[in-house]
Amino acid sequence: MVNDFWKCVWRELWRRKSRTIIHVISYILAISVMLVLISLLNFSRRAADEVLATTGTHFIVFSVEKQPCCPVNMSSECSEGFVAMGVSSKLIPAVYVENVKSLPSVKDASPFLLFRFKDDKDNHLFTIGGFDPGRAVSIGSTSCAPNDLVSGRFIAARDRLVVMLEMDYANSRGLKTKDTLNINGTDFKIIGIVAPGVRPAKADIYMNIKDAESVINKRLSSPIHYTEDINIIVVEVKSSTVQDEAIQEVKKIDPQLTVSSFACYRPAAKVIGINEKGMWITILIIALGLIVFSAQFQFSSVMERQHDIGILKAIGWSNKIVVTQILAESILKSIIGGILGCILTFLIIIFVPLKGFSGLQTGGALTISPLMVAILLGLSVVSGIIAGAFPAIRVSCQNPAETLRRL
Amino acid sequence: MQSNEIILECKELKKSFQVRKRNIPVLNGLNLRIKRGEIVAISGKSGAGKSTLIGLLGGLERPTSGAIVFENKHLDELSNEELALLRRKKIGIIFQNFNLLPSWTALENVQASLMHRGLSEREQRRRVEPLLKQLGLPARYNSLPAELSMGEQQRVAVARALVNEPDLILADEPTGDVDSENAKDITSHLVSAVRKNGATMILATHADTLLDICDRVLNLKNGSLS
Ligand SMILES: Nc1ncnc2c1ncn2[C@@H]1O[C@H](COP(=O)(O)OP(=O)(O)O)[C@@H](O)[C@H]1O
Ligand SMILES: [Mg+2]
Repeated sequence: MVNDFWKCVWRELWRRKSRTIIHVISYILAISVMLVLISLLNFSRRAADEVLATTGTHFIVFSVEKQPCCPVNMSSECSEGFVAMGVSSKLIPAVYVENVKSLPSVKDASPFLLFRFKDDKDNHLFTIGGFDPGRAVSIGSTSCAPNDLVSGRFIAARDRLVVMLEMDYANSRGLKTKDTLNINGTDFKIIGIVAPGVRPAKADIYMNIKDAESVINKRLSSPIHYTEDINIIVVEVKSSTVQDEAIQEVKKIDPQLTVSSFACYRPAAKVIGINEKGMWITILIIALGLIVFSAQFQFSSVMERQHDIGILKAIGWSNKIVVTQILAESILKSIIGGILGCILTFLIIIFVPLKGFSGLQTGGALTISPLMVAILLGLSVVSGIIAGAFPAIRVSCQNPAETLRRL
Repeated sequence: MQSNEIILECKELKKSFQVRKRNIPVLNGLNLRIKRGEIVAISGKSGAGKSTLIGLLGGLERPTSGAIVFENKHLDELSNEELALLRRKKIGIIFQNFNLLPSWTALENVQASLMHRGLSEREQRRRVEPLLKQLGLPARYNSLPAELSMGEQQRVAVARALVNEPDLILADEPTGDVDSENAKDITSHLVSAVRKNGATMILATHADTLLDICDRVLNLKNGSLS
């Protein structure tokens, strides 16, 4: 019984080879295109998350000095002083760090001193960044991180009288690790060279905030203490989605505060959103197209066989057999097409440099999620069932005598 | 081999067709009783309603009114599925225009009658091949109907109706399009197979050539038999 059944299914598919092949290919193409689009989507999402993680989940807070040439506390020339994002900045209360840190959208915040010096000997300008090496979370994304090391090592929490130099600065001054650098009469040992790229709190020389405090105090008429006054707060937000919220809340602490985040997370997030919507619509259209094409194709191929089916019913084949056979043919094609489509997708992902075409450099490798494979195989089978159901219902309603007479 | 058991009976059988709101009566209260083992010819002009009667007896169509009783079963009480089962097990039909499946080979066409009955491929062939040989179709098992002559096609159709050894064979002009030499040959095979199996046969024909081999000849005219 089962034997006869599958023999007939197979024979019927084999007899109409070209139709069967076209139908299976349509499943293969639709399923693999959908799978490739979905895995590209996942990939671009991951890449976007990476981009957003480095551009959009942190910012620095400072207060702009409106009259930079008459700074309070300054004992020397006005080219020297506290700076942030290239402009002169005022001191802000260090207690703001704890205020910011306690905001629900903020992951970490820490104090930062950024001061511009003029060299006593050759008058060149350079900046010193002082931070607490114990608070790596907020420092890493806004200033420099152990990942950014080119040579040497990163400042540890207990290190004193050591500095790390920004690579371009070190090159222009001909300095390297283990050299000694004299800043305002204090000798510092160079322990590392870093190349952090574009960061909001970037300095030429990085050191412990306590060292920075004492070096800076030599230039000020009234000394500061970093536990009371600082000029920058570096902030790491919990996720890019709450970035806006965090910025709003920080401004509520003190309306004079300025926030700089490079703002690139916004357009990036928006562009990615549009892509994603378009992709999903495309996938939906392909899925619907597959179902409609498949149903239409299967229907017309069964209608061609109406006469044969009428004869078989006339010699005693039951509706049950005829209907299940039509359904089985349709589902078998959809399963074969679905499986081959998934295999093709794996091959495409392995052998076609889709990542290159997408222009995205990050995001790791393209992957296919097993869940998506399962969902698309399911979709394939569902369209096989739908495609088989219409002609099966039609054929089961037909009266064999009428079919035989008409055709 | 005739017995007195009535295998098939029609009572006041009426069938009319509805064509563009016009009622076309074909059978008008037809009565018929056939004993097991009988070979009965239904003669009649073309358009008399012979094919219509065969279709009703085989459960392919339903009568407008009246009853058909086959082996004590009222056909109008059976569902379409039950009628299909009845045809598969007990009734073999030879259609007027052969009605072979054009994309199936001769062997497959005959095998179709044996399928879905739990018989192995070997058992199916064991039944089909000798029958085709006996009907004079040796070594053409794998030909498609289009590659066979009219006579050969008709032999395949006969084999398909005989292969499951039905109790009742309904033959609608089995030699209609075949030359007289072939017709005689096919008929004699058909009749000897029916007699050997103790089956019953109803044979519709508009020619007189087949009448002498039958036990009884009935004439279909104006929708009833005489
Ligand atoms: N489905 C149908 N619809 C309308 N008229 C039909 C149908 N089937 C048969 N007829 C008519 O019934 C009459 C008998 O047809 P048929 O049984 O084929 O005759 P025969 O086989 O004796 O030549 C014919 O006039 C035919 O046109
Ligand atoms: Mg006829």
